[in-house]
Amino acid sequence: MAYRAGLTSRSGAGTRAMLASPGLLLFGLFFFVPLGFVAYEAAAGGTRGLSTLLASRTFWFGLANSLLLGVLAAVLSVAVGLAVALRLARMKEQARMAWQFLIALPLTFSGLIVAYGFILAFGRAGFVTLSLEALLGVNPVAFSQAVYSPYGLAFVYAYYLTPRVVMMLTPVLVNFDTAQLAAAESMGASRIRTLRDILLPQLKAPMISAFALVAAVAIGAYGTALALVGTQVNILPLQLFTMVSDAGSDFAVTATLGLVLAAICTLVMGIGEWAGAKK
Amino acid sequence: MTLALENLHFNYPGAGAGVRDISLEIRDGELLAVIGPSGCGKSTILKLIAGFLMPHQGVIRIGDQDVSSVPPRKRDLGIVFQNYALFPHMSIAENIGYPLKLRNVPTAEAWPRIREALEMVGLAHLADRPPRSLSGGQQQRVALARALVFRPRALLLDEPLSALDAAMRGEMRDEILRLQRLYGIATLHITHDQEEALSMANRVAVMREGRVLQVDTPEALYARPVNRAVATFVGHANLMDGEVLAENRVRTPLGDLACARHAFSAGAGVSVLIRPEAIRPVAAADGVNRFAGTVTRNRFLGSLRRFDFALSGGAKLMVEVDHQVAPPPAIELPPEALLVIASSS
Amino acid sequence: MSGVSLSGRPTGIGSAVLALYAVYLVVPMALILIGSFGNAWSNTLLPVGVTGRWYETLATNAAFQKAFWTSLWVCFATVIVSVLIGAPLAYAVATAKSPGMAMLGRIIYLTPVAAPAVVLGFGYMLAFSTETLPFLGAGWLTVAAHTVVCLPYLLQTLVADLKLQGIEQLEQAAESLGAPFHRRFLDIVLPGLVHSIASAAILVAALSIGEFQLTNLIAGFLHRTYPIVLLQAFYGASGFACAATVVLLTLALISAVAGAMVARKATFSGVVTA
Repeated sequence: MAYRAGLTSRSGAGTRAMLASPGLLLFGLFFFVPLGFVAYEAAAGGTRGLSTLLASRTFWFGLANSLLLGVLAAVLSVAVGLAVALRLARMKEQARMAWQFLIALPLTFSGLIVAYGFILAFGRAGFVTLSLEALLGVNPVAFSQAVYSPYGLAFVYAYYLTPRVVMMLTPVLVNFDTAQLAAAESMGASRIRTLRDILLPQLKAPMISAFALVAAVAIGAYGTALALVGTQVNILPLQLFTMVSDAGSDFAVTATLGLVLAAICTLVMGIGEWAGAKK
Repeated sequence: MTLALENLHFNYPGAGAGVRDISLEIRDGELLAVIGPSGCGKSTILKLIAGFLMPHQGVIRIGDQDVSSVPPRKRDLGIVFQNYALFPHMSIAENIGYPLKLRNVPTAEAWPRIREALEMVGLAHLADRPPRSLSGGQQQRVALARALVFRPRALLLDEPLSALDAAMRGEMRDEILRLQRLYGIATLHITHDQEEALSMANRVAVMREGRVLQVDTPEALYARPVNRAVATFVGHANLMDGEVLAENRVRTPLGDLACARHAFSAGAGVSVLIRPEAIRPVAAADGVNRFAGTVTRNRFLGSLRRFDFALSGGAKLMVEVDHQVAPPPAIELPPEALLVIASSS
Repeated sequence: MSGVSLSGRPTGIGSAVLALYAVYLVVPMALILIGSFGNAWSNTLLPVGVTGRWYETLATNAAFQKAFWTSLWVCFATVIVSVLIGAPLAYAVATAKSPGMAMLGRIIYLTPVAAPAVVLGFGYMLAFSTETLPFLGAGWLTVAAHTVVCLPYLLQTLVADLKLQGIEQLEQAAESLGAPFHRRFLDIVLPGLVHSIASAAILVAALSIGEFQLTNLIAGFLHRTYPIVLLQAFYGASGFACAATVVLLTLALISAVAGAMVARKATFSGVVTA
């Protein structure tokens, strides 16, 4: 009652609930219901799903590879994204807009475009592979195999993850009060120290958020990897895809793997949200 | 129409802030300023009157009508928001015409009124421009015109000058006053700027921590503040702790002083106030309320000179004198200017 | 472009990184484009000979034709549904007073990452191939799935814009002038959102056209979208695969250009000042 008397004018909570309801209904039916089915399927199998997974070497290798891929892709994307964002922040607005247009392109690309582009560049007969062979004598077979490993996948994933990082960090850097850096330099700090002592501590929160977000995306995605290497690399989402497409697989195990994968992604992103909000 | 608040109470859920026991009356044609530090509840009062918040207790009256449970859109109040809240996708004329459109005023009748409102604020030549292309002062005028064009029953101003630079502020003060007088409309003016409040308002309500401490004319507020908080908030003040000895004597860290007559009983803990310009420079410390000392910080401020006077006992007083007066060897605190007031509310 | 550093001095490292990054960005796209016009490309640095035949083959390929039009109508329907559902939802979230509604918005933002497409797709296979809900493979289910995937991005754009405009105060102003809710929504909220709705719709279109991970699991044989068919092409002649990919690339570019133009317009009219 006290609350009702308080915060808002009449056309408040009720109207908003009504306006929100179609969207919430859609999410309920086409997001939470399907996930609920996955959860139900996993639960229906009792402990069978989880025990099968835990006993499976493939699962543990897949988990290790996925986490490795997530961390590598995130490290690479955040490092490159930070460097690019730092450079963009120093540009005049027009130039920055032009660069941002180019950099944002991969954001809406289908993962397939990225995959095929990398096959053409870094595949066994790829442009870069053959160039390296001609220039440095690099073995094309070994080189292209590296591209199809978790390390190589991280390099490919960075193609559409780095833009996310750039888009998250650039506004922060553009709005950063650069007089702070000038002040530190006037006190005798070197350029590196200025970055390390003044800029980076203040960038920590958005950087952690960005890191967690792109790591979670990299851990959960399968499209690009499927197009690039088929189901040859053992990462969790591809493992799950294989089980899902195979009519004969055990639903309880498949569903449990799905829940585990979703839990990992949620957890990674949750940590980022928490750390980002905490500052 | 008269705007009246009776015993308003409001608490924000889950927070201690809010307002308590607010009773104010703003008569037709009167401008009442509500002044206080941020967080004192002055904006809450405006939101309560506007209807954006609902009071937990109390009554809001416009004229004879109790509007406490009337929705904001039916209260007929003109509001000027802090950041003007002009609609960015409408031209200046469309902004001003919007309340008329909502009231289904026919175009033939609306246009002359829009034109008149535009001319009144001197912006007729900018009628078709979008709000963003105007300066802060011009946007402010549009906001005023929009708030007045539909002949509201009262006008609410929410820190209307805080987004303007100092030069523009003076000009807009006069402009707001001119229009307010022209319309003869009851006006509530929320501000944190004491100079603004004192120079514009017929009466000023000083607020702190959700309560109104004093409502009075600017002159009375300065000359007879009810307590220490009001005294510090309005103008410069020398304030000391004191203990009442008699109806015209008070004990202070400076010693026992003669003071203006007051109603406190002997033994009461009070505050003792004297304004810097009431202190008189004298040649020697020979007589009632006279003290020798030295001038420490001597500031020339154009027509006047403000200095700190360090007494031999260690106390310091701020003194304002005519700029031609030389630093004196002693000062006098005239008893009639030495006010005994409450320490707190 | 003066190359002045954050603290005022010019720097070379940043520019070098940016240049390398630009190469990394452009090379895969350029190779796809070059490959699509190459006559033959196997074990050579670049293709040999110039031809337009891959595009001719593509234009006469019935499967690709059908998939292309399927993708377009799925995209169109997704945009319409997303805007109709998303704009009111965005308003509700942006003006929410209760922590619950704000929280809900936050959860929706996070869904695309928190629940990977492959998991959600499996959920669709379980939920919508039952006897009570036998919808798997239906075209409209693909539209619903795309809407679920795209809505969070639309929501983010619109909520950010509403907050930037200070919609709460604008609405209070309108309300004090006498506007009831439906007038405020039609006169103030929607007109103010026109530009961000346009740019969000373009974003949704781009995401829907390129969506592969979820569609791949739920689209029936009759309603395969372009990316699903495209994957098959990767196992054939590289020229054809390139040409087929260029189509997607072109659509993405078109939407990016359109998005940039809308954003510019929004900046000029002052609706979005970021």
